[in-house]
Amino acid sequence: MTGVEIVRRPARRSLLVSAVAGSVATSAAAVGSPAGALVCLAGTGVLVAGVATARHGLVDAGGLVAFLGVVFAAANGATAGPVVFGTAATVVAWDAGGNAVSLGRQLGSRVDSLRVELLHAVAGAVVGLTTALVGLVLFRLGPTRQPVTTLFVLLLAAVLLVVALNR
Amino acid sequence: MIRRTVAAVGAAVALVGLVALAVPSVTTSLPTDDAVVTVLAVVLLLGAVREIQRRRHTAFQYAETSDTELTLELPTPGDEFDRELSKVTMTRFNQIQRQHIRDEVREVAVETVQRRERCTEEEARELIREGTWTDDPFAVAFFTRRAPRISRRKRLRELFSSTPPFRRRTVAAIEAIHRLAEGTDE
Amino acid sequence: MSDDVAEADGSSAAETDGSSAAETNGSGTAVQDGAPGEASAVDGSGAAELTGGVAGVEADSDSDAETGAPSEGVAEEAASATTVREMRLTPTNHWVGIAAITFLTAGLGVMTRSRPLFLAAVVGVGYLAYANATEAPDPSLAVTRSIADPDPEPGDRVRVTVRVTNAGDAILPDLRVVEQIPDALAVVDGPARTATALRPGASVTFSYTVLARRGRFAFEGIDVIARNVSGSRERVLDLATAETTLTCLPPLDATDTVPLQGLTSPYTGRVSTDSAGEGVEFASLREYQHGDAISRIDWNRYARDGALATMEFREERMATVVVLVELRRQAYLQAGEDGPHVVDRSIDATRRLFNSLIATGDRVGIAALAAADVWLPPGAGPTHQAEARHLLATHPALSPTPPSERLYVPGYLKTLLSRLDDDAQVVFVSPVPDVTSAYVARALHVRDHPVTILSPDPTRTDTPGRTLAAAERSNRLASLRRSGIRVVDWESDERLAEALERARRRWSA
Repeated sequence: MTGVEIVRRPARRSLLVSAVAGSVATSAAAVGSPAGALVCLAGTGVLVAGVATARHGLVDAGGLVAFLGVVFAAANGATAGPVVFGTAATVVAWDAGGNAVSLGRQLGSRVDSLRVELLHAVAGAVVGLTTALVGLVLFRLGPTRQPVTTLFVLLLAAVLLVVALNR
Repeated sequence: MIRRTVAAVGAAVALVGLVALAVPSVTTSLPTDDAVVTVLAVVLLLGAVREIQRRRHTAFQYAETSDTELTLELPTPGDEFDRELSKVTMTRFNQIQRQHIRDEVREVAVETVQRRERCTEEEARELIREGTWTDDPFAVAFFTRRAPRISRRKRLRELFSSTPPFRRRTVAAIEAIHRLAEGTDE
Repeated sequence: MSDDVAEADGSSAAETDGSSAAETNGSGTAVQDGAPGEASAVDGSGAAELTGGVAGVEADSDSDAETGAPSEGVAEEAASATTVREMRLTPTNHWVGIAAITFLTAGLGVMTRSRPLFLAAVVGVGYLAYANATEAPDPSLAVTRSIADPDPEPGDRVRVTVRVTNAGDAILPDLRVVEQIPDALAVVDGPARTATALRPGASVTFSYTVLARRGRFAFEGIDVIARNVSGSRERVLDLATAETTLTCLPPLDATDTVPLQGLTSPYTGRVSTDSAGEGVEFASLREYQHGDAISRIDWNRYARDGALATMEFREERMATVVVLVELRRQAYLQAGEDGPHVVDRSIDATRRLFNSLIATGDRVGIAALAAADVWLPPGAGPTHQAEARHLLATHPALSPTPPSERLYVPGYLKTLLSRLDDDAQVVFVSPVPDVTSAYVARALHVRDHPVTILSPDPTRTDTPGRTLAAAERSNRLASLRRSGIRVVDWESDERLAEALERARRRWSA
């Protein structure tokens, strides 16, 4: 007997986390535009397929497409709330998907990793929610109609921080 | 170094922006016409493309785990021959490999015929060359390299079978040798 | 549940734990217990063994960890301590590219002057900070491993339970554990892996089933992968744990024998017995020849017939046999993917042959056709038997993993021939995988060491290559028989006694 070889793919249950996050993003995008929601849904589908087949490339591609769906919805007049939460949701889906693939590759499909995956996903969700809320609060803090320049300045700051932090 | 300065500048700009939230007048003087905006947008989008490319080209770097549940598999005699045979039947223009396989099988055939017919090695080789060592036409054909003497119907069937002819003959020869070897117990 | 979680070999503290009752299902399900200090808790059920002699605590199943003898906690700690053999810290590149979120939304936001998009850029910054904020933790773990049956029979399924405890101060948000199973053992149920998150003091238990086979196997390591909560950095450790051994060897007093009739005949060995007629048996008379010893003349006959005749005695002698077991690399074979390992069968047969030959009164020795030196000179008696059992049980050359060195056969033969008594017979246990084995058998046989071959069959006939190899081996055995060497062809699904019986019938036919 040569032993049972592990199947180096995520367990079926691991698909749920990414799927749920992806659906949240889709519904957020749906608020702005149905077309955007469709794109987001397609992206989620690709992402979940990537998790099921343990392919990082598909997960990345799916995540990007889902995010573009949200962006499309934003460009078509979605309000701040759904856009921001939709973005966070796509990131959570992508993050959870990548984590699931790494777990599948390292431990195989028969290990019960749901607890660890949920912890990871929830942590990511908390980060996203916090920054989203901070952003929304700042957004509404001042008078409702901010001059665009202020926003530009804030944007520039954000970009500079990103460039500095990026590794 | 550069990182720090950029971070510092970014923090400073953020401060200005936050101040501007409360005091809008701070930023009204900044240029916001289309040219500037477009340039800024293009730069940012290029940055986005660069990031995506970077992602595509960066490989994942997490640890690979071993197949610890499996055990070392020991070979069974004859495994290398099977590998050779698969390679030969999958490729063309491999006369040398085919000859090698034929020689290997012939050696065992000679020994078996010698043992069963109780003859000399030369006689055994002769029997194999003649094709009188066994009844199976495909086994005979394996060594004589001539077409097997079979009925037309069977020949048609061989034409349409999915097994490549070389493999079929090799297998036939080996089976015939095995039958001969397992004959009567001495 | 005393049989469920038995003591680990080598650890003096008990490892029984109330939580393992919850952990009965086997396929890698982890059980978490969160109570701090759980690692040194002893629940009173079953086989608790205390050092320090605080017997009163044992029966009390509600005893708190702290009231137990302090030395016991220390003993258990020592037994479960791990040392780091190797560590690697790497970035995983999991979050590379997240900045694209910020750039994309910023760029599009600038173009369309959309405020929501600007806000989305902030989310990107947040995630970037999150990705780079933490480092992968350096875990400090205590690992206890217990084997349900540390002394099984070959073919038994043995459950191994591993418990990993976070013995440090850091939270381990993403811990992935992979057992290091000895190479020759196969896991037949449940991956020997688990994933968990552990607070300081928490532990996780997982278990798997291993198929036992002949030999002594040490479980002494574990691979651990610890990640930070964002998954951006990873620390991989190769930990050495306390050694737990699985011993699957026949018990010391095993005397299972096999019918040997005909195996070492028709030659009887020569051991000179002392003079004065002890141990001699009258055989025949022959005519007196000038020079025969006076003491050998049969005076009764002379008195009766008047003829002088000399008595000839057949001295009852013990045979000298050496059981030579083939352990070259080429003999490490398996009859098909699910078939028995030939070396396991050979060593088992060696043991039984040795027992049987000793039981019939022969002097028996053991040797191995291997690069390593395996030699027990022929002897008899209980001490000798004990030595043989020790050799068969512990000699490193008799291992389930193939050797890496090649054997120089002519040199080996020279050494072996110099060691063999002039009249020693050889029982050669070998699958005869190539001409070298046949060469060795003939070389011994030709130099007046009668050889009998017991050959465990390593061949199958399910593929063309294997069928050819089977025919080749059959020819080789036939050729050996023609040289006067007796060969027992032992099929893979046949019991040794049956194979010997079959051979005996053929020889006496």
